[in-house]
Amino acid sequence: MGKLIYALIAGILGAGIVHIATLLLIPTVSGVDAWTRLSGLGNPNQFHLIGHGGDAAASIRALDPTFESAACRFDLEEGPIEIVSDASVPFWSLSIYDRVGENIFSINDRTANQAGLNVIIATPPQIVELRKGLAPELGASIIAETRINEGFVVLRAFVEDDSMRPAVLGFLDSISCDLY
Amino acid sequence: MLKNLGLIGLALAIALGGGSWLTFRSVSGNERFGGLQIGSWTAFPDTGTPNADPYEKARLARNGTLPLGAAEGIRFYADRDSDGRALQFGCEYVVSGVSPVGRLWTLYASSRDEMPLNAGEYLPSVLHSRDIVLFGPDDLVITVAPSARAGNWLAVKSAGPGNYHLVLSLYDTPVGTNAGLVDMKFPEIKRSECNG
Repeated sequence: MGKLIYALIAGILGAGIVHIATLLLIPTVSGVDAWTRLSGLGNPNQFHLIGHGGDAAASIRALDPTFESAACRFDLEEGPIEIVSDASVPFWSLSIYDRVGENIFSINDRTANQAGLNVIIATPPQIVELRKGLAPELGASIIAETRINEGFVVLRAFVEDDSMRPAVLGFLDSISCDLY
Repeated sequence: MLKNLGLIGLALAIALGGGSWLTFRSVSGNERFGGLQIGSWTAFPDTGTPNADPYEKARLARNGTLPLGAAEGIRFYADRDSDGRALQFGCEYVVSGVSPVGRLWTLYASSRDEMPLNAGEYLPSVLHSRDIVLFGPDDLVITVAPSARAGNWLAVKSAGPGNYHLVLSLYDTPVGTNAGLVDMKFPEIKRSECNG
């Protein structure tokens, strides 16, 4: 009887350890995180609309239906990324996520403090390089300093009503996500 | 000897089974820790940031959602009315009070697994701050009902009974970034009537 209680206590303690271990492992082994879901949409260095058709189970959930969103995966090891568009919409916001889907940088059209969208994503050493040969047009860009290599950027634009939708989709389609 | 093996097996079974079950429950269930609660509404400003707790990190990796960044906005969820009863498809609710603080806000219903609900073509499944009628500066009244209502109407329909969430997203807002500095009053959710 004493041994049975001993085994039960060992089991419960073990359950605690297994719980903590599996919980901490999920973010690194998950095959259904945002990065994996976005990978199904297409190539990196290109914006892809999210939330339009496709496999429901593999799609991104919890998207606001009054917004259209697009995402672009990038790898800073190849160089800084430039996100530019000349078009404008009533409200847009941009977020940079790391590989596990954590938000590390965000702005909206007002905090950007200028008419257009012009963001450069770079690592600290790349920013040093950029500043060395500072091109005059770089002054207008917002430089997002990140300490990641792989990541993705999501752009959300507000659709006031359905008649605005083509313009908003055109805006999202016009955004480049290429190497600087 | 054989009895000891049995006991070791039992301990292992409890450890592996119980541990995995705990993880599954805590990551997939609707119960979440923490959160910023204002009236019926709850937000999780740390979710999707490096400050999130391990439960929220695991939940994020499983659900694959894209939480709003601090400069984008903040999303509040309500799964109960102001009297603490779960929101039901068969009931009609009145969301009323002060307009939320922010440049833009949207309100829609979503299923328990965070998929926005669509009441049908041409029906208002989502409302936003630029398409509602305000009866006064602080007099927001929205009726959440399956069939048309006068004033601001949010259509929420379902074939059967069940529960849902209301999702209030505030964009470009100081709420959540300097909690406590802004006087945060949120609309109340009152149940008015239920059918069936």
